[in-house]
Amino acid sequence: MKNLFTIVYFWRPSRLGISEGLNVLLTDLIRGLQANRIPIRILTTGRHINGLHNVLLKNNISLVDIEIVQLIKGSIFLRFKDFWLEIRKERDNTDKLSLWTRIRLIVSNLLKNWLFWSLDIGGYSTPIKVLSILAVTLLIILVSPLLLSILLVCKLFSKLKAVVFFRFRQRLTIVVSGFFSASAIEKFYIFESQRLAAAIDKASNISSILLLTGFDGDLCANIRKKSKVIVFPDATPLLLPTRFPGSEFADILLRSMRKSVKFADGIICYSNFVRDHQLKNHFSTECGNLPIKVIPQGFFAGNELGEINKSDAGGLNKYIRNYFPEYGDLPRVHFNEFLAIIYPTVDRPHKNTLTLLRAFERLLRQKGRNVKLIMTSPGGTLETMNYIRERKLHRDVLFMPAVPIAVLNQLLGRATVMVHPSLLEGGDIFNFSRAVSHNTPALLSDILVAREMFERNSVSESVYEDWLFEPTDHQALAEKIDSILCDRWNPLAAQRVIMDHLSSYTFAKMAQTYNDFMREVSSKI
Amino acid sequence: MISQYEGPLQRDDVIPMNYRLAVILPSPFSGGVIRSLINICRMLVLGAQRSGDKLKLVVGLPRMQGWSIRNAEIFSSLGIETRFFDQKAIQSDKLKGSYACLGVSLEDGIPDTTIFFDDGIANFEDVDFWYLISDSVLGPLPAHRKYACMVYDYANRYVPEIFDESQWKKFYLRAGVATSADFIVTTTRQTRLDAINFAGVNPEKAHVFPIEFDAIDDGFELDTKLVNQFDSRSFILWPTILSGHENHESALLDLEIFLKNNDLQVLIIGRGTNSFNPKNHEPMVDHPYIRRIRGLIDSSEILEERLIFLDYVSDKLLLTLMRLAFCILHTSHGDNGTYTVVEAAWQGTPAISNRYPAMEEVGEYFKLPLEFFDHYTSGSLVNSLWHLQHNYEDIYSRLPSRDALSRFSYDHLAEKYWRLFSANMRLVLEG
Repeated sequence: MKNLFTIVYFWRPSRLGISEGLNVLLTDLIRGLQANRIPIRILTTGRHINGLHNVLLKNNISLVDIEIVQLIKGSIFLRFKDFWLEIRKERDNTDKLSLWTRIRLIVSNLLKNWLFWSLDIGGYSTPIKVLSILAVTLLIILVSPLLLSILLVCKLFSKLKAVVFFRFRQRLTIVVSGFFSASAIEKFYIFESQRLAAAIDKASNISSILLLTGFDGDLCANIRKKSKVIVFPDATPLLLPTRFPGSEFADILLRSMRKSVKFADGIICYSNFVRDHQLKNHFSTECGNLPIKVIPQGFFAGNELGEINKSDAGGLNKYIRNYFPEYGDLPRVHFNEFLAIIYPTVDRPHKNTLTLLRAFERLLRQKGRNVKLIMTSPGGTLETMNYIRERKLHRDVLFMPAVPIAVLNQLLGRATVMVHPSLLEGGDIFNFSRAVSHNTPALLSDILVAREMFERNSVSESVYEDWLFEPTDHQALAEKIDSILCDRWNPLAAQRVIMDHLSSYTFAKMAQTYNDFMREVSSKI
Repeated sequence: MISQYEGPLQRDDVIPMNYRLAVILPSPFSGGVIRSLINICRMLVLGAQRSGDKLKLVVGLPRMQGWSIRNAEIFSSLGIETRFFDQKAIQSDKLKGSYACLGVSLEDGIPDTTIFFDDGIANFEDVDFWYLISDSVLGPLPAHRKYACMVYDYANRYVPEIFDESQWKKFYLRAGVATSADFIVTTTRQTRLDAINFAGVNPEKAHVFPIEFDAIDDGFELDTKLVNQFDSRSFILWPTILSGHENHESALLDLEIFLKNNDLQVLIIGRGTNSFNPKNHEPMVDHPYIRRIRGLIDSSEILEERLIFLDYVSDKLLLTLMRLAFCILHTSHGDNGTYTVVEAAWQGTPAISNRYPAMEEVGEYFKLPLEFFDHYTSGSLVNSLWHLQHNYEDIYSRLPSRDALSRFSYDHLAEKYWRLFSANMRLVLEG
């Protein structure tokens, strides 16, 4: 049997954004495994397979030595739900004419054309036109009773529709919402997880599997015959509970994580911080004496992956989304004409975007710097969006969500500084390495994982402390950014030196550690 | 130095040009914009004459625009025709037929309504090219018209409060006028960057033209009544407007501190600024911002005593005040800067200005010894005033001479301005 590294590609939504953290982890891991010539097998369902192909394709992953196996068809209901949500999203974003309106317009145009053509009497076509008028008149006389009755019924129907249909629609909406509630969807997801688990157990050529997140508790619990390693990314909501007020879905995820930890055979964390402050602290009963391995995310090594896209700056405009349509269309952005500050992230309550926005506003308005802020988030949290709306920053803060990695790299390469103000992260801040490897200096909030990243790599505090900022002090952050806007080369040169050191830990090394840990766990069972 | 224009400048032939140009002021303005309009017209006409080109210039003014006899005389002496108009909207559907014949592409769609300038004669369709003096148009212009647009500033980018919600919701229309222009003209690099990065203008179509100024004392005599009323250097002259980007609040707080230690007065001038005066019980504008400033002045004995509100003053009065003032105070932020500091230098009076990119450019361009302060830092204006007070002779001696300043007069710049403008216009019209 070939020594295949088996990954399960399975989560609640049928598709995840291609630059979503989980997909980034997947693609980085695949690259690392490929560099080590370790053959890869990805197990998935019919519901996820198209999304998976899309992620691999858009992130330029070679499919050589990757075996993609669709083990089950996947839940039709969940597929339908995602499809329906997708359609609704598209319908909300477009104001195209409905099919019925288009048909009506075509028919009325045809009738108008015929009428004017037939009334234009004169020349050789006169007999034909007269005949056609007579024929149509006769037809109208014959069918007019029928037409009148249809009209009457339609009128009655539309009156009834207002009453009956409205109630019917209301009730249907309640029923559909009930079906689409988090707990109902979760039930379908559990059934799907059980079927997938059974299929995995049944497959004789699989000995161990990697689950990319700890969010699939029922899958993990139901796989009984294989060794299972889960990645425990973080449990941020537990550290900031009031910033993440419980919702039905959040509670489900927490329960699911607990279950994953309980039934896993080994756990991977990205940092000591997560292991000590989150996993061991909040899941101590479940993880017991399980083997836990801290495997930091590999450092982005830049050009060696051939990811730099030299496409024109104008082409980037198609990735910009307007989340403030009430203020009209956004202007075309000329990317060569300003200094960009970039924060690649999906905005969530712990991402501390507000501090960055305040610092950005200070730079733009008080210091008169020629800057724009680029966010790769699909919209933002309520306070982020409210701040932008209230301070009228909607033309200067650019949202460019779900960009392919190549475009993200291009944006990083164009930026003058990358700022990562997040209050919590699960592991190494790979925005640092990604930015520096594209010759863009980085500023990170002074949080434990940031310090851990440097210290693990023997970088002394005196070297890295200049790149850290107090996460809640927007004025200090503005000053730090400003000093980089004025001189980016000095901090970049220093960061490049560190980067050269850090980059010895590559995706390949990371992937090798994953592989070794999988074998270690598997051998113990 | 303000960046030199890098667009087409050299005439590659000697065939005289013959154009009909409309310079249109889309909405009523006063003060600096009117002076700019007059100077631009002068430069275009004189520049064309001196270059041997033929130019028929029509000036379009909104019907509500106040227009002095002096201005009318200037235009008349230059052979400029003046027409008054109303901005009106027309359904774009009604222009579709014409567009099809005029070769306007409808592929990208056209806006529902289009703005035109109804002059009751030809709606300025009888000229080859339009030059809009400011982008304050209420919607997109007819797609078949070729036009340039002078953009003064996007102060709302830096001080969002100066626009209310409805103005922000319509801002995209104003930005659209600039982005749809065949080229835009700014007088500072800062505004050019704002036009590109805030409005979305194509960088290749955004040009910085030279700043001109008009020494307004030609033919004026000082107002003797005023000369007797105020001693020389006994007051700070603060020309301002009723807009939040003029930072009245922070400036007043600093002035209160500064005025405690001397006998200087502060003369506030500008249309409607008497609304700030708490003793004026019928303010022209009643707005929370104005009320706040009135309250601030009302609560301070020293401000109430030393501030003098003259509201709008004539050119003659302005000239006299400038010559008598201790200094000119410019407190705004985020706009295109002000001519006043140059005019003051012409009169031998130094100026204090808030530091922001456009004013730094103005200072650099005219080589003015501007005293800068930072309105975000409390006490900064106090320090700058104090520094000026204690180094007055030195700063005064560094003011540029009239000879040096006259190099920037419209008369000196006319040919250059025309060459720049006509080269761009020609590119648009003839390809």
